[in-house]
Amino acid sequence: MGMRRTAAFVGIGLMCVAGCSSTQEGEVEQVAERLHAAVRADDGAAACELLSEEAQEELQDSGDSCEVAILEAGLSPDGRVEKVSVYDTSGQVRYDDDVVFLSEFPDGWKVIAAGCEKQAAAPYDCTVQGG
Amino acid sequence: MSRFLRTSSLSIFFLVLFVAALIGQAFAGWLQFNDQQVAQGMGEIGLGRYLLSADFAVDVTENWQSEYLQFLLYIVATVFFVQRGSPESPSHGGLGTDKEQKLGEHTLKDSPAWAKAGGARTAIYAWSLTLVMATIFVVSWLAQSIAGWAAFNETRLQQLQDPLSWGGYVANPDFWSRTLQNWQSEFLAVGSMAVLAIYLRQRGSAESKPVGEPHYSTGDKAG
Repeated sequence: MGMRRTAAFVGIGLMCVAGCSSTQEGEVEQVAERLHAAVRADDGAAACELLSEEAQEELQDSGDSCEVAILEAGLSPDGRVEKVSVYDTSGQVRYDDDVVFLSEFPDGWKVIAAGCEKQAAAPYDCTVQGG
Repeated sequence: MSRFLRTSSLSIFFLVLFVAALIGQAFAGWLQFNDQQVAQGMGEIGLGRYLLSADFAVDVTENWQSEYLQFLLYIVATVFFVQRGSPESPSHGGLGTDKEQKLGEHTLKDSPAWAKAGGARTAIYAWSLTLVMATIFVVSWLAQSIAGWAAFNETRLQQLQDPLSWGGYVANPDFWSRTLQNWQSEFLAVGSMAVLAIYLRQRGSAESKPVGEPHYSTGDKAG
């Protein structure tokens, strides 16, 4: 295996780990912002379209439809984005009063958890949550 | 062309094996990645996307760095350490004299230009194999740390945990588990080959002593 082949592979890999993420940060932030905008507008149907299937099913476990349950989940939709992190198929948008987790699906980025509060040395506790 | 194939068959053999194994790893890794995604309720990705993923990059680079470290250490260790009876060991440790190394007034007509040049160029050339292997090792290990960091954070976000910084990942057991599980196997393989080659033979192999060579024969005189 030639040194140039090795260097090229490593170079492409490093550029992608850095660059591929940065191009996706905008998409991830946009989906989280659309969720907050839908909740602000009391548009439960639009909000549910942005959730993963499991997150929708989890909301429906309460007995209400997703469209109703998402508006009653106590999300704080007025916050300001502080930080967006993307690692391959996973993303996180940190607001000053909320944390939203997203995952990439074949039809785009979907919210897998929102309304999250940090727990000491444990995963976030989220009012909307599902794989 | 056929002469080139004959005189370079060892390199071509390993290049073909490398490409075939890398393709196999790509498909197996892709299927495994998607299995895990589905099990966690996440989306599947295409092969092209997987080839650019941190998951694939860390699996490739963690093995690359350990292989280059293995050969780097072997190259340097066989300068200074001796194993009596091993064809992989010098008969006596050390950098050798100019006469042994065909340097200075002992260079040949066909010696490499940098070997004949003298001064800094010859000093660099005398260590060029080690320098290049060390560079590839360091770059591969750095790439492993970056790709491993991204893959680890991808999983942490799926588990609703905050991502770590790169420095935090390098101090994390995941990085050292990936690193050391490769290192221990490389060190075992090289060490055992050096010892087994004292007593065992492979007729025709440059890595073995001649079949009839005594067990106590050491180094290039043995081969």
